Amino acid sequence: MKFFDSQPDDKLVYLLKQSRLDFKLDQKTTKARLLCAIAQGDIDGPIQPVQTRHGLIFKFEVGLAGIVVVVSATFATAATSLPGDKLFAVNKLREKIILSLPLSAQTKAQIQTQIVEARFKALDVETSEKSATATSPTTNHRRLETIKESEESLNQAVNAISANQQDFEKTGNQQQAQKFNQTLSHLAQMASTREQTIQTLANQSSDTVERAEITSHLDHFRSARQKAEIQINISQ
Amino acid sequence: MTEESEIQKLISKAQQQDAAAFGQLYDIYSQQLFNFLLGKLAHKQTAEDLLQTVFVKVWSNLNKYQPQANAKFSTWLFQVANFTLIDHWRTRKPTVEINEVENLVQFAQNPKLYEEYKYLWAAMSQLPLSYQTVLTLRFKQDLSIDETAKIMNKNKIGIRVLQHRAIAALRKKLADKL
Repeated sequence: MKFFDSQPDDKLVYLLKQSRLDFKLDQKTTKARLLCAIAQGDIDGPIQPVQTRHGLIFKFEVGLAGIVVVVSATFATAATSLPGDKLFAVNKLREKIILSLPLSAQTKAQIQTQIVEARFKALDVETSEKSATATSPTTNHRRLETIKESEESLNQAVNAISANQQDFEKTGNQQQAQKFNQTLSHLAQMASTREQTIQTLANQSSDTVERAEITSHLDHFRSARQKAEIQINISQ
Repeated sequence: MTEESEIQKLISKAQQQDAAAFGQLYDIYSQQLFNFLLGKLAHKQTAEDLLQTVFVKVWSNLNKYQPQANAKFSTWLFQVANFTLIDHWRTRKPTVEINEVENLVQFAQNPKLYEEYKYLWAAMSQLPLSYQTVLTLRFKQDLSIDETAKIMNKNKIGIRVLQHRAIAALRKKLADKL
Protein backbone atom coordinates (compact mmCIF):
# COMPACT_ATOMS: atom_id res chain seq x y z
CA MET A 1 0.00 0.00 0.00
CA LYS A 2 1.11 3.52 -0.81
CA PHE A 3 0.77 4.59 2.84
CA PHE A 4 3.45 2.23 4.02
CA ASP A 5 5.88 3.23 1.29
CA SER A 6 6.05 6.83 2.52
CA GLN A 7 8.10 7.78 5.55
CA PRO A 8 6.37 9.52 8.42
CA ASP A 9 7.11 13.19 8.84
CA ASP A 10 10.33 12.72 10.85
CA LYS A 11 10.67 16.34 11.91
CA LEU A 12 7.11 16.50 13.20
CA VAL A 13 7.55 13.21 15.06
CA TYR A 14 10.75 14.60 16.57
CA LEU A 15 8.89 17.71 17.75
CA LEU A 16 6.11 15.60 19.25
CA LYS A 17 8.66 13.57 21.21
CA GLN A 18 10.54 16.70 22.31
CA SER A 19 7.30 18.30 23.55
CA ARG A 20 6.72 15.53 26.08
CA LEU A 21 6.16 17.00 29.52
CA ASP A 22 4.53 16.18 32.83
CA PHE A 23 1.65 18.15 34.25
CA LYS A 24 1.49 18.94 37.94
CA LEU A 25 -0.43 16.27 39.74
CA ASP A 26 -1.03 16.42 43.49
CA GLN A 27 -0.41 12.70 43.79
CA LYS A 28 -0.60 12.67 47.58
CA THR A 29 -4.06 14.22 47.78
CA THR A 30 -5.59 12.30 44.86
CA LYS A 31 -4.15 9.01 46.12
CA ALA A 32 -5.43 9.67 49.65
CA ARG A 33 -8.91 10.36 48.25
CA LEU A 34 -8.86 7.07 46.32
CA LEU A 35 -7.54 4.93 49.18
CA CYS A 36 -10.02 6.54 51.58
CA ALA A 37 -12.90 5.57 49.30
CA ILE A 38 -11.53 2.00 49.13
CA ALA A 39 -11.11 1.81 52.94
CA GLN A 40 -14.64 3.08 53.56
CA GLY A 41 -16.05 0.46 51.22
CA ASP A 42 -17.43 3.06 48.80
CA ILE A 43 -15.84 1.11 45.96
CA ASP A 44 -16.22 -2.65 45.41
CA GLY A 45 -12.89 -4.44 45.52
CA PRO A 46 -11.51 -6.85 42.88
CA ILE A 47 -14.47 -9.08 41.99
CA GLN A 48 -13.78 -12.85 42.23
CA PRO A 49 -14.29 -15.05 39.10
CA VAL A 50 -17.46 -17.18 38.95
CA GLN A 51 -17.52 -21.02 38.94
CA THR A 52 -19.91 -22.50 36.35
CA ARG A 53 -22.06 -25.58 37.00
CA HIS A 54 -19.90 -27.68 34.68
CA GLY A 55 -16.83 -27.02 36.81
CA LEU A 56 -15.03 -24.93 34.20
CA ILE A 57 -13.89 -21.48 35.30
CA PHE A 58 -14.57 -18.67 32.82
CA LYS A 59 -12.71 -15.39 33.29
CA PHE A 60 -13.81 -12.66 30.94
CA GLU A 61 -11.27 -10.13 29.69
CA VAL A 62 -11.78 -6.41 30.34
CA GLY A 63 -13.98 -5.03 27.58
CA LEU A 64 -15.48 -8.45 26.80
CA ALA A 65 -17.86 -8.56 29.74
CA GLY A 66 -20.78 -8.51 27.27
CA ILE A 67 -19.90 -11.95 25.80
CA VAL A 68 -22.25 -14.69 27.16
CA VAL A 69 -21.61 -18.39 26.44
CA VAL A 70 -24.97 -20.10 25.81
CA VAL A 71 -24.79 -23.85 26.33
CA SER A 72 -27.59 -25.63 24.47
CA ALA A 73 -29.44 -28.66 25.88
CA THR A 74 -27.51 -30.92 23.44
CA PHE A 75 -24.20 -29.49 24.57
CA ALA A 76 -25.21 -29.89 28.22
CA THR A 77 -26.00 -33.57 27.65
CA ALA A 78 -22.86 -34.10 25.57
CA ALA A 79 -20.69 -32.66 28.35
CA THR A 80 -20.75 -36.01 30.16
CA SER A 81 -20.22 -38.19 27.08
CA LEU A 82 -17.05 -40.28 26.77
CA PRO A 83 -14.86 -41.41 23.83
CA GLY A 84 -16.80 -43.99 21.85
CA ASP A 85 -20.21 -42.47 22.77
CA LYS A 86 -22.45 -41.07 20.03
CA LEU A 87 -22.44 -37.56 21.48
CA PHE A 88 -18.68 -37.44 22.12
CA ALA A 89 -18.12 -35.53 18.87
CA VAL A 90 -20.52 -32.87 20.15
CA ASN A 91 -18.57 -32.73 23.41
CA LYS A 92 -15.33 -32.19 21.47
CA LEU A 93 -17.00 -29.40 19.49
CA ARG A 94 -18.14 -27.79 22.75
CA GLU A 95 -14.55 -27.89 24.06
CA LYS A 96 -13.25 -26.45 20.79
CA ILE A 97 -15.73 -23.56 20.96
CA ILE A 98 -14.78 -22.79 24.56
CA LEU A 99 -11.07 -22.79 23.71
CA SER A 100 -11.66 -20.49 20.73
CA LEU A 101 -13.18 -17.80 22.99
CA PRO A 102 -10.97 -14.75 23.66
CA LEU A 103 -9.80 -16.05 27.04
CA SER A 104 -6.43 -15.45 28.63
CA ALA A 105 -3.59 -17.94 28.23
CA GLN A 106 -3.89 -18.89 31.91
CA THR A 107 -7.60 -19.66 31.66
CA LYS A 108 -7.10 -21.72 28.51
CA ALA A 109 -4.31 -23.66 30.26
CA GLN A 110 -6.72 -24.46 33.13
CA ILE A 111 -9.41 -25.60 30.69
CA GLN A 112 -6.99 -27.75 28.70
CA THR A 113 -5.74 -29.37 31.90
CA GLN A 114 -9.32 -30.17 32.91
CA ILE A 115 -9.95 -31.73 29.48
CA VAL A 116 -6.85 -33.92 29.86
CA GLU A 117 -7.99 -34.92 33.37
CA ALA A 118 -11.43 -35.90 32.02
CA ARG A 119 -9.84 -38.01 29.25
CA PHE A 120 -7.49 -39.70 31.73
CA LYS A 121 -10.41 -40.44 34.03
CA ALA A 122 -12.18 -42.19 31.13
CA LEU A 123 -8.91 -43.98 30.36
CA ASP A 124 -8.68 -45.20 33.97
CA VAL A 125 -12.15 -46.72 33.68
CA GLU A 126 -11.30 -48.46 30.39
CA THR A 127 -7.97 -49.76 31.62
CA SER A 128 -9.23 -50.96 35.04
CA GLU A 129 -8.70 -54.66 35.67
CA LYS A 130 -12.33 -55.58 35.00
CA SER A 131 -12.62 -53.60 31.75
CA ALA A 132 -9.21 -54.56 30.44
CA THR A 133 -10.10 -58.25 30.27
CA ALA A 134 -13.44 -57.69 28.48
CA THR A 135 -13.24 -58.21 24.74
CA SER A 136 -15.85 -57.43 22.14
CA PRO A 137 -15.64 -55.28 19.00
CA THR A 138 -17.52 -52.47 20.76
CA THR A 139 -15.39 -52.63 23.90
CA ASN A 140 -12.15 -52.80 21.92
CA HIS A 141 -13.19 -49.85 19.76
CA ARG A 142 -14.13 -47.82 22.80
CA ARG A 143 -10.84 -48.63 24.53
CA LEU A 144 -8.84 -47.63 21.48
CA GLU A 145 -10.82 -44.39 21.10
CA THR A 146 -10.18 -43.52 24.74
CA ILE A 147 -6.43 -44.07 24.39
CA LYS A 148 -6.38 -42.02 21.19
CA GLU A 149 -8.34 -39.12 22.73
CA SER A 150 -6.12 -39.13 25.82
CA GLU A 151 -3.01 -38.93 23.68
CA GLU A 152 -4.43 -36.14 21.49
CA SER A 153 -5.65 -34.03 24.41
CA LEU A 154 -2.30 -34.40 26.19
CA ASN A 155 -0.40 -33.42 23.04
CA GLN A 156 -2.56 -30.34 22.44
CA ALA A 157 -2.31 -29.22 26.05
CA VAL A 158 1.48 -29.67 26.23
CA ASN A 159 2.04 -27.84 22.91
CA ALA A 160 -0.19 -24.89 23.79
CA ILE A 161 1.05 -24.50 27.36
CA SER A 162 4.73 -24.86 26.35
CA ALA A 163 4.32 -22.15 23.71
CA ASN A 164 2.74 -19.76 26.22
CA GLN A 165 5.40 -20.51 28.81
CA GLN A 166 8.14 -19.69 26.29
CA ASP A 167 6.40 -16.40 25.44
CA PHE A 168 6.27 -15.35 29.08
CA GLU A 169 9.91 -16.31 29.59
CA LYS A 170 10.95 -14.24 26.59
CA THR A 171 9.25 -11.17 28.04
CA GLY A 172 10.83 -11.74 31.46
CA ASN A 173 7.60 -12.61 33.25
CA GLN A 174 9.09 -15.39 35.34
CA GLN A 175 6.16 -15.58 37.75
CA GLN A 176 3.68 -16.53 35.03
CA ALA A 177 6.21 -18.79 33.31
CA GLN A 178 6.64 -20.65 36.61
CA LYS A 179 2.88 -21.18 36.90
CA PHE A 180 2.85 -22.75 33.43
CA ASN A 181 5.81 -24.86 34.52
CA GLN A 182 3.74 -26.25 37.39
CA THR A 183 0.90 -27.07 34.99
CA LEU A 184 3.28 -28.93 32.66
CA SER A 185 4.70 -30.81 35.65
CA HIS A 186 1.19 -31.87 36.69
CA LEU A 187 0.43 -33.06 33.13
CA ALA A 188 3.71 -34.99 32.92
CA GLN A 189 3.01 -36.71 36.26
CA MET A 190 -0.51 -37.72 35.20
CA ALA A 191 0.77 -39.01 31.87
CA SER A 192 3.56 -41.01 33.47
CA THR A 193 1.16 -43.09 35.58
CA ARG A 194 -1.02 -43.89 32.54
CA GLU A 195 1.78 -45.00 30.28
CA GLN A 196 2.34 -48.24 32.15
CA THR A 197 -1.31 -49.26 31.96
CA ILE A 198 -1.48 -48.50 28.25
CA GLN A 199 1.70 -50.57 27.73
CA THR A 200 0.07 -53.45 29.64
CA LEU A 201 -3.01 -53.23 27.39
CA ALA A 202 -0.80 -53.35 24.30
CA ASN A 203 1.00 -56.44 25.66
CA GLN A 204 -2.28 -58.19 26.45
CA SER A 205 -3.90 -57.52 23.08
CA SER A 206 -4.13 -60.59 20.85
CA ASP A 207 -5.11 -58.55 17.80
CA THR A 208 -1.98 -57.51 15.86
CA VAL A 209 -3.59 -54.47 14.28
CA GLU A 210 -5.02 -53.29 17.59
CA ARG A 211 -1.66 -53.83 19.33
CA ALA A 212 0.11 -51.77 16.65
CA GLU A 213 -2.40 -48.95 17.05
CA ILE A 214 -2.14 -48.90 20.83
CA THR A 215 1.67 -48.89 20.59
CA SER A 216 1.58 -46.01 18.11
CA HIS A 217 -0.62 -43.93 20.41
CA LEU A 218 1.59 -44.84 23.37
CA ASP A 219 4.65 -43.55 21.49
CA HIS A 220 2.95 -40.20 20.89
CA PHE A 221 1.77 -40.17 24.50
CA ARG A 222 5.34 -40.72 25.69
CA SER A 223 6.67 -37.99 23.35
CA ALA A 224 4.16 -35.47 24.74
CA ARG A 225 5.16 -36.31 28.31
CA GLN A 226 8.86 -36.03 27.44
CA LYS A 227 8.26 -32.73 25.68
CA ALA A 228 6.64 -31.38 28.85
CA GLU A 229 9.58 -32.60 30.95
CA ILE A 230 12.12 -31.06 28.56
CA GLN A 231 10.28 -27.73 28.70
CA ILE A 232 10.27 -27.84 32.51
CA ASN A 233 14.03 -28.59 32.60
CA ILE A 234 14.89 -25.85 30.10
CA SER A 235 13.14 -23.21 32.16
CA GLN A 236 14.75 -24.16 35.47
CA MET B 1 11.50 2.57 35.83
CA THR B 2 9.93 -0.32 37.75
CA GLU B 3 10.46 -3.79 36.27
CA GLU B 4 7.37 -5.54 34.90
CA SER B 5 8.03 -8.50 37.22
CA GLU B 6 7.85 -6.18 40.26
CA ILE B 7 4.64 -4.72 38.94
CA GLN B 8 3.13 -8.18 38.51
CA LYS B 9 3.91 -8.90 42.18
CA LEU B 10 2.07 -5.73 43.20
CA ILE B 11 -0.87 -6.69 41.00
CA SER B 12 -1.08 -10.15 42.58
CA LYS B 13 -1.21 -8.53 46.02
CA ALA B 14 -3.74 -5.93 44.94
CA GLN B 15 -5.92 -8.70 43.50
CA GLN B 16 -6.09 -10.04 47.06
CA GLN B 17 -7.56 -6.66 48.05
CA ASP B 18 -4.23 -5.28 49.33
CA ALA B 19 -4.93 -1.52 49.12
CA ALA B 20 -1.31 -0.62 49.96
CA ALA B 21 -0.07 -2.58 46.92
CA PHE B 22 -2.72 -0.84 44.82
CA GLY B 23 -1.49 2.48 46.19
CA GLN B 24 2.00 1.65 44.91
CA LEU B 25 0.58 0.97 41.46
CA TYR B 26 -1.09 4.38 41.66
CA ASP B 27 2.28 5.99 42.47
CA ILE B 28 3.88 4.35 39.44
CA TYR B 29 1.21 5.09 36.82
CA SER B 30 -0.89 8.08 37.91
CA GLN B 31 1.41 10.75 36.42
CA GLN B 32 1.48 9.07 32.98
CA LEU B 33 -2.28 8.65 32.91
CA PHE B 34 -2.86 12.21 34.16
CA ASN B 35 -0.64 13.59 31.37
CA PHE B 36 -2.65 11.53 28.86
CA LEU B 37 -6.01 12.77 30.18
CA LEU B 38 -5.18 16.45 30.79
CA GLY B 39 -3.52 16.77 27.40
CA LYS B 40 -6.89 16.03 25.82
CA LEU B 41 -9.33 17.49 28.29
CA ALA B 42 -7.59 20.86 28.81
CA HIS B 43 -9.34 21.11 32.20
CA LYS B 44 -7.48 20.11 35.34
CA GLN B 45 -10.44 19.33 37.61
CA THR B 46 -12.05 17.13 34.96
CA ALA B 47 -8.75 15.34 34.34
CA GLU B 48 -8.37 14.66 38.08
CA ASP B 49 -11.94 13.36 38.28
CA LEU B 50 -11.41 11.09 35.31
CA LEU B 51 -8.11 9.86 36.77
CA GLN B 52 -10.03 8.89 39.90
CA THR B 53 -12.67 7.14 37.73
CA VAL B 54 -9.96 5.22 35.88
CA PHE B 55 -8.37 3.92 39.09
CA VAL B 56 -11.74 3.06 40.60
CA LYS B 57 -12.50 0.95 37.50
CA VAL B 58 -9.05 -0.63 37.68
CA TRP B 59 -9.53 -1.52 41.37
CA SER B 60 -12.98 -3.04 40.78
CA ASN B 61 -11.92 -5.04 37.73
CA LEU B 62 -8.41 -6.04 38.78
CA ASN B 63 -9.33 -9.73 39.04
CA LYS B 64 -10.29 -9.70 35.36
CA TYR B 65 -6.78 -8.63 34.41
CA GLN B 66 -4.57 -11.47 33.17
CA PRO B 67 -0.92 -10.85 32.32
CA GLN B 68 -0.15 -11.41 28.65
CA ALA B 69 3.17 -12.25 27.08
CA ASN B 70 3.16 -9.35 24.64
CA ALA B 71 1.42 -6.63 26.65
CA LYS B 72 2.43 -4.75 29.79
CA PHE B 73 0.11 -3.79 32.63
CA SER B 74 0.34 -0.17 31.45
CA THR B 75 -1.30 -1.21 28.16
CA TRP B 76 -4.37 -2.38 30.06
CA LEU B 77 -4.38 0.83 32.16
CA PHE B 78 -4.25 3.02 29.07
CA GLN B 79 -7.07 0.95 27.56
CA VAL B 80 -9.24 1.70 30.58
CA ALA B 81 -8.22 5.38 30.48
CA ASN B 82 -8.96 5.65 26.75
CA PHE B 83 -12.43 4.10 27.08
CA THR B 84 -13.15 6.35 30.07
CA LEU B 85 -12.13 9.38 28.01
CA ILE B 86 -14.33 8.30 25.09
CA ASP B 87 -17.30 7.79 27.44
CA HIS B 88 -16.69 11.24 28.91
CA TRP B 89 -16.65 12.90 25.47
CA ARG B 90 -19.90 11.12 24.56
CA THR B 91 -21.70 12.43 27.63
CA ARG B 92 -20.28 15.97 27.82
CA LYS B 93 -22.21 19.05 26.75
CA PRO B 94 -22.21 19.65 22.96
CA THR B 95 -20.60 23.07 23.38
CA VAL B 96 -17.80 23.75 25.81
CA GLU B 97 -17.88 26.98 27.79
CA ILE B 98 -14.84 29.13 27.04
CA ASN B 99 -13.80 29.22 30.72
CA GLU B 100 -13.80 25.40 30.84
CA VAL B 101 -10.80 25.25 28.51
CA GLU B 102 -7.81 26.23 30.58
CA ASN B 103 -4.37 27.41 29.64
CA LEU B 104 -2.33 24.32 30.33
CA VAL B 105 0.92 26.25 30.88
CA GLN B 106 -0.12 26.87 34.51
CA PHE B 107 -0.22 23.08 35.12
CA ALA B 108 3.02 22.19 33.33
CA GLN B 109 5.89 21.06 35.57
CA ASN B 110 8.19 22.81 33.10
CA PRO B 111 6.30 25.93 31.91
CA LYS B 112 9.23 27.02 29.70
CA LEU B 113 9.11 23.75 27.80
CA TYR B 114 5.36 24.06 27.46
CA GLU B 115 5.64 27.61 26.08
CA GLU B 116 8.22 26.42 23.58
CA TYR B 117 5.84 23.87 22.16
CA LYS B 118 2.55 25.65 22.88
CA TYR B 119 1.85 26.00 19.16
CA LEU B 120 2.12 22.21 18.78
CA TRP B 121 -0.22 21.52 21.71
CA ALA B 122 -2.72 24.06 20.37
CA ALA B 123 -2.69 22.49 16.89
CA MET B 124 -3.08 18.99 18.35
CA SER B 125 -6.04 20.04 20.48
CA GLN B 126 -7.92 20.92 17.29
CA LEU B 127 -7.58 17.43 15.85
CA PRO B 128 -10.26 14.72 16.25
CA LEU B 129 -9.92 12.73 19.48
CA SER B 130 -8.71 9.56 17.74
CA TYR B 131 -5.90 11.51 16.00
CA GLN B 132 -4.87 13.13 19.28
CA THR B 133 -4.91 9.75 21.01
CA VAL B 134 -2.75 7.95 18.46
CA LEU B 135 -0.18 10.79 18.39
CA THR B 136 -0.10 10.95 22.20
CA LEU B 137 0.25 7.22 22.69
CA ARG B 138 2.81 6.70 19.92
CA PHE B 139 5.07 9.72 20.39
CA LYS B 140 4.42 11.25 23.79
CA GLN B 141 3.93 8.02 25.72
CA ASP B 142 6.37 6.24 23.36
CA LEU B 143 4.24 3.13 22.99
CA SER B 144 4.64 0.58 20.20
CA ILE B 145 2.17 0.03 17.35
CA ASP B 146 1.15 -3.21 19.06
CA GLU B 147 0.42 -1.56 22.41
CA THR B 148 -1.38 1.35 20.77
CA ALA B 149 -3.53 -1.08 18.77
CA LYS B 150 -4.58 -2.89 21.97
CA ILE B 151 -5.37 0.37 23.77
CA MET B 152 -7.41 1.79 20.90
CA ASN B 153 -9.03 -1.56 20.10
CA LYS B 154 -7.83 -1.54 16.50
CA ASN B 155 -5.52 -3.75 14.48
CA LYS B 156 -1.93 -2.80 13.66
CA ILE B 157 -2.71 -1.75 10.10
CA GLY B 158 -5.51 0.47 11.39
CA ILE B 159 -3.10 2.19 13.76
CA ARG B 160 -0.52 2.77 11.00
CA VAL B 161 -3.21 4.32 8.80
CA LEU B 162 -4.57 6.42 11.67
CA GLN B 163 -1.07 7.60 12.57
CA HIS B 164 -0.35 8.56 8.99
CA ARG B 165 -3.58 10.57 8.76
CA ALA B 166 -3.03 12.19 12.16
CA ILE B 167 0.45 13.40 11.20
CA ALA B 168 -0.86 14.71 7.89
CA ALA B 169 -3.69 16.53 9.67
CA LEU B 170 -1.31 18.01 12.26
CA ARG B 171 1.08 19.15 9.54
CA LYS B 172 -1.80 20.89 7.77
CA LYS B 173 -2.97 22.61 10.99
CA LEU B 174 0.56 23.90 11.63
CA ALA B 175 0.93 25.06 8.01
CA ASP B 176 -2.40 26.93 8.23
CA LYS B 177 -1.17 28.84 11.28
CA LEU B 178 1.99 30.08 9.53
